[in-house]
Amino acid sequence: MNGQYASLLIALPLISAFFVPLIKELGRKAVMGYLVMITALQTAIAGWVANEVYSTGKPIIVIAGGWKPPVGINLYIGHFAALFVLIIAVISFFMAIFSFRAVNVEPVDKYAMLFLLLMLGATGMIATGDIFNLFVFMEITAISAYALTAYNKTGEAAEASMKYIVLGGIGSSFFLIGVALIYGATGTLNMAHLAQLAGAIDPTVAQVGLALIIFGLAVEAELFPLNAWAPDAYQAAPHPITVMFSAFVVKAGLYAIGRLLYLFQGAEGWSGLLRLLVILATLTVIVAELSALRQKDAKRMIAYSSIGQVGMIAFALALGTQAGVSAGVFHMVNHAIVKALLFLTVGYVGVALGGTAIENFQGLGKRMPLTALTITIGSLATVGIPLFNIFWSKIRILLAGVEAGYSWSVALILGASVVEAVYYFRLVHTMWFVEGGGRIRENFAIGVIAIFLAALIIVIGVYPNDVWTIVQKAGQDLFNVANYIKNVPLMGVGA
Amino acid sequence: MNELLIIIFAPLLGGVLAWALNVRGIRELLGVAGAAVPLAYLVKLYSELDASGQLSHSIDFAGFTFSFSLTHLTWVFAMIAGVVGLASTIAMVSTSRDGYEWLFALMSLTGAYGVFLSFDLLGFFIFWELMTVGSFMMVLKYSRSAGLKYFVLSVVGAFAMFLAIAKIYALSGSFAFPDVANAVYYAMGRGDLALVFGLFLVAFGVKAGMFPLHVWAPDAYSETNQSYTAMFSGVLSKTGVYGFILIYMLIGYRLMVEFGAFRSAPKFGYIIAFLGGLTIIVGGLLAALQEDIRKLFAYSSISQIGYILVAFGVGTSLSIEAGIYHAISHALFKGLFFLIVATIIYRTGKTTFADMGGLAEKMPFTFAMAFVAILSLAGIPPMAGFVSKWLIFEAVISQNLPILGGMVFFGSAIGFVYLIRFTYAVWFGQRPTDLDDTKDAPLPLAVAMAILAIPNIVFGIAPGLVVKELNKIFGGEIVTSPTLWELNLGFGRYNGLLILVWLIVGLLIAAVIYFLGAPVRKVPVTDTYQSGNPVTMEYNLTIRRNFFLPLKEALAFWLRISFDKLYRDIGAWVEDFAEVMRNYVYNGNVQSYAWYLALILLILAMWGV
Repeated sequence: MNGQYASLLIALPLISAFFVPLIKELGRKAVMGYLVMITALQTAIAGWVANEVYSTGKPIIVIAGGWKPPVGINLYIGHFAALFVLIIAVISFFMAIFSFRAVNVEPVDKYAMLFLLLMLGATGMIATGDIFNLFVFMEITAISAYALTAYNKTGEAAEASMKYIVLGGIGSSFFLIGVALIYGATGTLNMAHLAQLAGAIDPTVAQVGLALIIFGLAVEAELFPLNAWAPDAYQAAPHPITVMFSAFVVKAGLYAIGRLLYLFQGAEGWSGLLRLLVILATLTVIVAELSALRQKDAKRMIAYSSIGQVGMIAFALALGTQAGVSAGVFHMVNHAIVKALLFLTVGYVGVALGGTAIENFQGLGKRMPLTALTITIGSLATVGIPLFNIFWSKIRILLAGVEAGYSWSVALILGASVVEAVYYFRLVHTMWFVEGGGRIRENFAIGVIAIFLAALIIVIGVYPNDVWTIVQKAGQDLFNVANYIKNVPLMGVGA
Repeated sequence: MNELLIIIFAPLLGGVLAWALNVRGIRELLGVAGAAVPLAYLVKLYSELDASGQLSHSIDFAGFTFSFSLTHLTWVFAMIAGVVGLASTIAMVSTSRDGYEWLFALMSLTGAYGVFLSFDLLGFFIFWELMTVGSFMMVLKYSRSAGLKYFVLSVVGAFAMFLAIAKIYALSGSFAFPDVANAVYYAMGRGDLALVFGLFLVAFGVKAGMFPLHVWAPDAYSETNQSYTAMFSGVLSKTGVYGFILIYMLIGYRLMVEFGAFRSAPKFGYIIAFLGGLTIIVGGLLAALQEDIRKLFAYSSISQIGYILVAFGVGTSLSIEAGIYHAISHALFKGLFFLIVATIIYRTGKTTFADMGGLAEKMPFTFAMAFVAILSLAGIPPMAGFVSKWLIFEAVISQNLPILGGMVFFGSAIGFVYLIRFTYAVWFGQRPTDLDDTKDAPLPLAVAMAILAIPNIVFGIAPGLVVKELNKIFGGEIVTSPTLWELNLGFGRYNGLLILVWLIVGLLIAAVIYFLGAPVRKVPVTDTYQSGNPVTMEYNLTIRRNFFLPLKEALAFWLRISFDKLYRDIGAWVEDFAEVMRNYVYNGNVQSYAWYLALILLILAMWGV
């Protein structure tokens, strides 16, 4: 089959989003069913693309409208993009099912549209090979995210959304200025072409441009202290949307940071920027974990924990070594699975018991045994206990960190992990060893998804070999820029 | 499948099956089988090991190479896990009621086997974590605060170890022990070396219960199924002890070269030994002041581990051999003690001295077991505890280390102090009426106790058995053993059989005197404290309540200094700090958030951009 069909990954959600108003009249069920159908289709396409990329070992380059790069815009679906587009699609599919139960606020047609646009934006950010196109997709993601944050129509949601808009807006404007600077210096927006020219850019322009771009992306990637919007937004957003934020929206931002960082590794002042990122990432972990310690609300607690984990991924990506990047990608995959599970189950408890305050988790082991078991698995995995998936990626990140000479950073991250262990311990204890109310019937579909994710956690934890091979390839895709340039046909205009 | 892997994973498999099926009868069978299979394999592999000196196996997994190795050293430690683990699981047949306990008890046993048999640092770390999780789950079920304390300290220890491992890995690019030892010897800087040593000291110190990291142990040991505590104290604490041997194996030479010696011990060893000595004293004194038998033995276990640390710290072959001998006898008598406690609790449901008394008549078998354990812990011949303590004394004294020697002797004295209380208050004296129909140990507990009691006696009378094995670790005659019964150090000798004979003769003579002697006089129970003299103090002390109150008052000043409290304060301080910080950083004001962005831009500008 022609690789160009991969453009459906972008086209499908976009077109489907515009069709939502047409089926609005058929009622809430129809809209939600439509959402499930589209995401299932997207999953199938993404599965085919991933299979194609991993079996041939070659990236799929989609050339839009026949305009060849660097003149036209191209999509670059390499090992990394193929993997993450699949993850995005699968998580979206699960969340479409969860939305049946979790989203009751009208207007659901708007919800469905925004949902699809959010998925589209993140997919596009990861798949694109053009830096301005990246900005466009980032804006699509961000704007649908702002709207979805406010979707619950409560005062808190509106406030959270407002904060997100202000900070996200500032971030993306600086990103755009950075892109403009780089464009002015090189005359190109194609990422492969930029990478070729990176060494030749005027050092000042390169530094300022790159710094502004990273600064802009850091807001989306939730780096301290640019992540202040995140806890509020995570808590206020509808539960399925929180899962999507944590599982892939933030990953798209992280990916963009990683990709652009390594594309510009020839630029002046690059290592200084890496060091700054390492510091910010370490601070992100520490501040987030400490903030989670005394949370009274489980969803917010896990939101902070998610930020902490994201900080660890950023740390790995900023190490500037192959080992670090591969470990970071591994952690991205694991974190997507674990946090999807945690936000899903915690959100489900919120739906079933009318809130996610810690008190609602008392005796959950007896009230909703399946949900409690899966939350426990997610918690233990996050803490980094052997036989769960995060253990492997976490030790790889920390080993890579010490190898790259950041022992102090690793020590601080480990210290923060102790704190993380404590608050998850409290949650687990509350669920299993405190008395609570009566038994509640658990939803079948959500249970199946939760068990699937929990099983995935344990399977990867017990047998990480295959996933490790896959993420290593994805990590190389990100780290090995020479390959990236080689794979994009630049019509000979490159240096 | 490789036999070493079977040894490691059999308990976990048994535990998972027991948990999954959770049918009474089958559950117990699977659990005990999970503990018995590794022991059988260890016995079976012995002849092979003896012929080749080392059995190794390595697998590639998750992009790392994991190696496992059975050597004479690891065989000895694995056997400790095997015997005590089996006894403990058999006892659990009586005291454990659900699949949860079987799963996690056996998970921790798998962890312990893995720690002993791993021949690379990463595998060591992973199994260490597995063991910690299993034991933590066992504590969590019984007490939140004890669990939390154990968990936090363990996690701190584990992360310290991980940092050290990462440091070493960054240097050597490999986790395998031989590569690590090489890399450390040739390439590690002085600062890093000291750092790695400090981190290992914390990591292993936590698990072994070394002062001042011991604070988790009294609570964790007492707040769980006491049958499991036999394994907890007998096996799991030995992984920490084994860790100290690893320090010698991996970084010991380099530490010795780099930092030199203090008196006749290596300087780093002296730190271990001195902390071990403090552990003996603190553990012993606190054990004497406990009113709960579980706590008494928990502190006593800590105190006894101190001996092993002293022995290891001295750093001669003799002292390390003595330390390993004491690790064996500690596992045997401490495991036995906790099984006795388990039996007492199982039959009476009581845990404090105040509620006990006169049980010797009602539980003669358990009492006989307790008698063996008491003699062994107190270091009275002909028990295993005597031989190992004697070896430690000799090793310390022969190196001319008077301070350590004093600490060790003090520990023995304080050992008598707390044991006399257990001996009298539980087994003799007036029996509370509600204990009148107490029965003796149920069969599984009785079998389990016997499994541990027999080697306690055998290894005391025939120390040659053990010493022959331990000499193989060092590949030389560290302690010569002319016959099975005799030990000869050159400057001291011990003959277990001879002592046994004399002991029996002495007992016979005593019996003769007793029966020919003065008529028996009845004394009230309250009189025992003053040995029959009139009570002169205002307060009335009985052996069951506040027996060592004067000691407590004498120590009042020192008892106020509590590391437990210090750690709690640090914890509370971190929580408060976290809250304050969160309130300032995530203050909910979007204007200040925007300022953060400006601040970062400023930093970017100053960074030279």
